[in-house]
Amino acid sequence: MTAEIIAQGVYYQYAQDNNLALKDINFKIDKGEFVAIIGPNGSGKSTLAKLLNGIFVPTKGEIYVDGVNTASKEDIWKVRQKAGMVFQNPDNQIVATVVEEDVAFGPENLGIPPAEIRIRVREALEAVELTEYAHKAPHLLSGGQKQRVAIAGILAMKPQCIILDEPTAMLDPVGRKEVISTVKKLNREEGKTIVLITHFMDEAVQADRVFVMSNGQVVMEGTPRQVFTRVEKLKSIGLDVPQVTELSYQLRKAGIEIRPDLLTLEETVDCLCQLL
Amino acid sequence: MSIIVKNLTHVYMPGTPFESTALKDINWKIEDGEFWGLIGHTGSGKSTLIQHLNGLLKPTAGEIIIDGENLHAKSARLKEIRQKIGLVFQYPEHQLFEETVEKDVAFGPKNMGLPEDVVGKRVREAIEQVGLNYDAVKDKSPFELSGGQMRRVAIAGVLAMNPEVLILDEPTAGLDPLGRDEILEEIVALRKKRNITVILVSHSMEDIARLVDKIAVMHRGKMIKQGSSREIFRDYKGLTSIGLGIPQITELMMRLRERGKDVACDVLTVEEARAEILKALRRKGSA
Amino acid sequence: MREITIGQYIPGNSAVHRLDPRTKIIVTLFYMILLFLLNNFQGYVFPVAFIVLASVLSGISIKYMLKGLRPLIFIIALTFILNIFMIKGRILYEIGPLDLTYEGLYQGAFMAIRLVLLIVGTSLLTLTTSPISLTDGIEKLLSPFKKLGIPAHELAMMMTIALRFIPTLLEETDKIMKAQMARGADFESGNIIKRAKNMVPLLVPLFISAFRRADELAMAMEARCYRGGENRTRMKELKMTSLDYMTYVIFSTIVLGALISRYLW
Repeated sequence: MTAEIIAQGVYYQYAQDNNLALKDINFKIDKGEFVAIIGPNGSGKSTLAKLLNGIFVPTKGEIYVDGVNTASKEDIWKVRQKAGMVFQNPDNQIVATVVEEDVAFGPENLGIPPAEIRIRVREALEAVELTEYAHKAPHLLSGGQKQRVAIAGILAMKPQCIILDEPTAMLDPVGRKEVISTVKKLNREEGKTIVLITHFMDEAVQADRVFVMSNGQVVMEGTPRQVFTRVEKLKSIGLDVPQVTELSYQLRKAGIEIRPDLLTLEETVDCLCQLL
Repeated sequence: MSIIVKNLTHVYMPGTPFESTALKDINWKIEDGEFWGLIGHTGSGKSTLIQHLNGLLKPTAGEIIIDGENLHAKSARLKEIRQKIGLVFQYPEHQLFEETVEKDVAFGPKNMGLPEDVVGKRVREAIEQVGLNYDAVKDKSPFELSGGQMRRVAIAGVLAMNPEVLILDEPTAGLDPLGRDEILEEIVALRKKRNITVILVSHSMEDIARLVDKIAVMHRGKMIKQGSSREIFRDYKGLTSIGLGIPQITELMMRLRERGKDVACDVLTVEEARAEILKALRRKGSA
Repeated sequence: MREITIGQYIPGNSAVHRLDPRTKIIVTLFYMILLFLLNNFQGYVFPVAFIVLASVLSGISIKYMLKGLRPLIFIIALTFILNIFMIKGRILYEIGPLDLTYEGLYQGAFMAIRLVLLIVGTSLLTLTTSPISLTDGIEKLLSPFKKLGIPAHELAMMMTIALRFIPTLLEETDKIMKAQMARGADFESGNIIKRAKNMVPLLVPLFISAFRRADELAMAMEARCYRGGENRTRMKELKMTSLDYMTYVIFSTIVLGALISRYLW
């Protein structure tokens, strides 16, 4: 497998701030991988997201997206086309007054011929299952639907990688489910590389790999199972674990022999059934 | 302070093509000092309902009686009643507008016409109550604070009016787990200290389960269920059929029960589940 | 508010709806000029014929168009009354110091009808053209003037974004207003100065939010490779069809007829 995104010794400092927002970040994300980044507010996860498609450029170090350096001025539009970005507030990223016009916005900026844009818009709306909303006004959609419009707008640019910066933070549970299942589908069926920034642990559990950030650094990295079983460490950072993981951790502390790496409801039910 | 909602119906834009019934025949009784959770989908009518409780919206039919006084009777002093029922909207930090934290929190009590020294005292109390350091933040602009701190300042702005009922619409939306827990803990502490009635609107069944005593469930403009949290969450099928869930831990215990394990299935927290499983294991060990 | 039908787009698929927005804008402009060129009552036959034709073709009833006049009725009445009394001539009736003259009555009626035709005719444009294609039309029509420094694309983009955010900001206004009312704010009583002062708790958060939105939107647009109008394509290209050419022919006939009528009648 080849790497989609490479970060090498990345530091970032905001202009008005003396503290470093990011310190010595190093990682590789493979093509087709689904990575979740979690961390408390102010840990640098949003800053990192904005570095991944060249909205910000590292103060020190390099980031490569599909081999292109994000700091290179000539290639910046290439980077942004390759790594599309979905933001937190669904209202503040939709430009047009009609859904299909908004999805067309990216390809229009890329100078794609009109006939081709039509095809892309149709395909993108199909992928997020919003075909019947093509002619609707965005402000009449639910939060989850708006975020799917935003995802379609990115898809129409044919990126290899989609970066989502807390896309579900402002949604209700139904909207969250819609967005996460759309993201998972794009990852599985279309092979898109996904970088999902979130503070909902149940979303991070569904990724292939989880990065945990704290104070501008990646402090933990591994499969969800490896990461979430370190209950104490996560709590000390100010993060949560799924309730079943918490339960198995508590039971082990009480001296019960139970698997330490339980993550989902189903496996916990099975495991406890054998015990009881 | 008790609130009685009687046959409340609310229709938006009646007589136009946009007419829609947001609330239908709601009956709800909130006793003094109770801690309620209000759950339901987006668009189920929760926001419309809570805006009625302090007179921001007028019922199309039915009435709201607060401490025996009809909120919409001609004689009712709406402004006074509104002060007693504090309403914290979703993303309350979006309402901040003053130059300093102190001034912003003082906005409510000042509108009540309280004397300067009382306002000052209330402001200090409210800011401390939400876990902020009064002397450190009072002269800061609310806009230099972090998201979580801004939210607390906004909540303090409502607390400074000394409400007897506090209604919070999704007070933890968009916060990280730590920020969420801190705000919820402060609400619990506040309830203990001031003995006020609290209504918490939330999408997080986990938070609702571990905090409130009673739950009201809204669906399509109707209040389809009310009861103690244990009662409400026992009805897993009913809740999922309207697109709501139950806490993961409650579901876990129900699944165990379905598989014929001898455990109580109406647990609300991880601690309860732990105790319940340990008990079952001991029973098995001794058998 | 919802009584105002003026300018509210009514979706449809009629011949008028399908016209290129540029055609509709140009026709509307010339229609306005025409109205001011007419110098007698008989000449109004032509604009009226134009409106009737447009109504039949678009499927939007004249009654509905006239409903749009409601909020402007005061201005029309004022025009009428001012003209009646301002024009000197043969006196029909005396009301105190004011003289009602035959010429005044004629002129008043003439001006009021002109205003009605102006409003109804121009509202046809917005009734049958979606805001988005209107914006596209304006952008295209202005683009030859880019060399003169008129930022056609930027203007159109600004209009689109404004249209997109109006509902969002209205919703937000309502929300902030309620939130402040819950803190005892009073937006309804007091004199004008006091009321203006009372608006501060509403306006400050609204401005802050608008700026935050603008900031985030700009970032989102850049992330989607937006870099101004250069090298940009459009999904929907404006295309003149035979329908447009026919419109120009019919409309020119009406204009020509009207101009000739100036001398004949």
